[in-house]
Amino acid sequence: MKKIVRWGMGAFWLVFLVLSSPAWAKPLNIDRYVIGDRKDWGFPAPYFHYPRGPGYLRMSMVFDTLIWKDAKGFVPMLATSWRYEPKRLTYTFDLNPKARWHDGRPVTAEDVTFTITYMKQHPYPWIDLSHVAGATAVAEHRVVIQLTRPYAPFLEDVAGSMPILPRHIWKGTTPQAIDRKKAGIGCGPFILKAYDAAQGAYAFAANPRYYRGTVMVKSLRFQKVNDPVFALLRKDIQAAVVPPEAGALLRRKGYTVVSSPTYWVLKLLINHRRSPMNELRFRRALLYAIDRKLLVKTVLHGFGTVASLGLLPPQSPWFNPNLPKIACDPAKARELLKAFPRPRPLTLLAPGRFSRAAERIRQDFGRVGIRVTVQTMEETAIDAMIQKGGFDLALSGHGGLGGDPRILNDVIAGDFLLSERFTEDPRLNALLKKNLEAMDPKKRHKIVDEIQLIHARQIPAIPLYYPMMTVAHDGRVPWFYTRGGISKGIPFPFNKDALIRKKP
Amino acid sequence: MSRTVPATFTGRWISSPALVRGTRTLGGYVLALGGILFLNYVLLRLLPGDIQTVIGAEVMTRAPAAAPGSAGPSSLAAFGHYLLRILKGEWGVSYFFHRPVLQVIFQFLPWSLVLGFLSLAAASLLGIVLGVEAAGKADGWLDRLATGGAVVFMSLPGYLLGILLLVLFSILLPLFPLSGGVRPFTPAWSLPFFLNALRHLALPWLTLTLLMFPEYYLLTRGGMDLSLRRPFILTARGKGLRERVIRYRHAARDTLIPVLTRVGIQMGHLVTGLVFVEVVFAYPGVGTLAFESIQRRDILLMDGILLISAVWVVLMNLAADLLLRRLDPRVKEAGG
Repeated sequence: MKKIVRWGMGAFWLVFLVLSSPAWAKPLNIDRYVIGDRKDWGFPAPYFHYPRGPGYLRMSMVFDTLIWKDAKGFVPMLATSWRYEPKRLTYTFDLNPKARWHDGRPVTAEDVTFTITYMKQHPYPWIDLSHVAGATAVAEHRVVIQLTRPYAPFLEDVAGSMPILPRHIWKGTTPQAIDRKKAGIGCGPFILKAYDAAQGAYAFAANPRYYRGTVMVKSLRFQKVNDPVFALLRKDIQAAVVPPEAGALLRRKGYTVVSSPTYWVLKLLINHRRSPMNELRFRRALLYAIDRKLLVKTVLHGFGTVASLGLLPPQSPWFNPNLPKIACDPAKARELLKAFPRPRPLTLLAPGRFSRAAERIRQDFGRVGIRVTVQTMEETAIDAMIQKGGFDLALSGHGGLGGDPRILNDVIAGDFLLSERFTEDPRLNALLKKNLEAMDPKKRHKIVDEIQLIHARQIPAIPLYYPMMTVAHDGRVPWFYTRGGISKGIPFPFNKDALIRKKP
Repeated sequence: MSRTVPATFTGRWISSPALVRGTRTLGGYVLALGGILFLNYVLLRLLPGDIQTVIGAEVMTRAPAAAPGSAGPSSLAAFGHYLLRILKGEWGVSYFFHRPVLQVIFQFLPWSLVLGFLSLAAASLLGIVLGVEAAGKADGWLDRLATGGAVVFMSLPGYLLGILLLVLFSILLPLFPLSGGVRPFTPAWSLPFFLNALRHLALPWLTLTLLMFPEYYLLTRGGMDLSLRRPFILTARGKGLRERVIRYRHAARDTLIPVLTRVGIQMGHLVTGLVFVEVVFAYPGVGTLAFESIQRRDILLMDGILLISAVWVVLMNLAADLLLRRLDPRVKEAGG
């Protein structure tokens, strides 16, 4: 009997403790939450924000897309369900009938068709609609989007990234002429209250009629600060991206500190159209000469990893783990260089922020007999030189490696400004074409694996390292990392879904 | 009785040496302004890369074929067209802010001017007063302290002093805000706005004042050393004037000329020359705006900032020139 009473009491206390724990007793309800940043990213509306990840992120608080991503993958947003019809090359989306614009009007299929037509007329840098023929509203809350050809990245690039515009506001006006106050009206979880460009400050208020659930932060702000670590220590802000070195200090002060991949890579671009870099043997010699591990240790102080030669990082679901892993081997580099008795001196272009990496690489090359002069210049000037092909070697980086593997097309042979422009391998060219059209994920996986393998063998550029991103926050919001990054691969954890208690 | 204009008035007026000198000076300034504008225009357009390069370097975006706000060609005819546009008030739209260039600049300019003016006023006043006082008691404790302080602040890199003050008064003793110009979204032109803006201004102002005062102090101190040995000071002493009157009314006035010249030059730098302090304190200002506009190749905004900056520099130099002529008859007579 005593045993039963003891067990009963134990069970009672357990239930009591669970029910009285903050998570159950008091749902997350935050009056004010400030995220710090070092810069201003422009007015948070489509066409107005600066076309980089943080600008899109702010805009995404106000504007919703058809679908979205959480930690596991795609989730419904404006569309409650979607399906692809391969024979007709169409995607059909059923919209949530409860969705409302911030001014109270309902969101309908007409808004979606209007957005596509409008963005085709007025290109919005973030969205590429060249694979979309058009859209038809077949019912008040059902829209059919017609593709011109199979396009595998559609869900991420268009459905999961294109902010839907309110037709009643944007119709008959241009992005240049639209009334700015109205341009900030969306249907997202937050209503834009104010934006101050001079202070780099954004004020959003929770949308009380949000169709997907309750917005748990009443007032969300983004605030420009000079030093996010100081601002966190003073409790001026509640979350920010911080230097990885500050992680330990902030952890001691009670902050939740999380590190994650940035899906960003620093590459040594090689002008493979110039001699001697047009020879695979020379490019391999360059690869063997660089001590990439030491680079991570000295330049990133260990807060990063050596990059995969296939470009995609191990955290990407499309990563090929069976690529050759080539470590620094100066002897092998010297051996390969015997075929080039007197290689001409090379110039390495490097923006100021990569000057340490450039110096390290210069030393590595010097060790095997390749003479390199480092030219440190402003980044945009270097980008322009890369675009024109006016360089031997250049240090340049890009993100987007966590999302759809379409990125490989852009950065290896596509029209991306900092593309490696490697079109010499016919097999690779064919695979890149298939990469966009393979709608079956399994088949696509094989294609992407092979693309990475060819990249690792041909070395049109040398992927050097992936830095880590460290975020510190006060622990009140359950921020999470989005699978493949927000939208097309934005690596920040500030996904708006973390702020919503969804309706069952 | 009505006054009649003498027949020779027009001729005399035209040939008046003052007018000739004035026209020559003004002409010089207009020419200088034209030269600066031309250089700004050409150099900006010689920068490698444009807006499309900046957008195109982001892998997640597609740069539009013709980005609005692009700079256009660089030629003499294009420069003429640009000048015409400026004169008509068509300064274009900033690519980043999507707003007219002038609106953007005027959102940032007041912050720079308030910070710059207050710092310059405090630094020059402090420098002059300390210089005069220290020279009056050469080798005294004030002289040693002020000279030592001036040397220390002169040799400190600006950003380092800013960070030191920030750590001391914002982190260890959280007396002042960490960054920004005012608490965001405080209703403008209200008392809380001004009080809050003053609190935000304190550290950037102190940094700039401490960095600028040594120049004025050393100029005044050195000038006073010479002035106090001049014969007219002996005469003044012989007349029995009080020491304070001698120092401030006679010696300091003689010393003031190079100090004022320096103030004029520094006034010119107030618009875009405060970048480091704006960066350290995340203080809104035209300096950072200009720096970021160059990085983003927001050329029309850059054009606007450089134009305003050039006009400001020329106006401040002109003002200093006129003031000098008024204060020092030698300058006036030399026609310089």
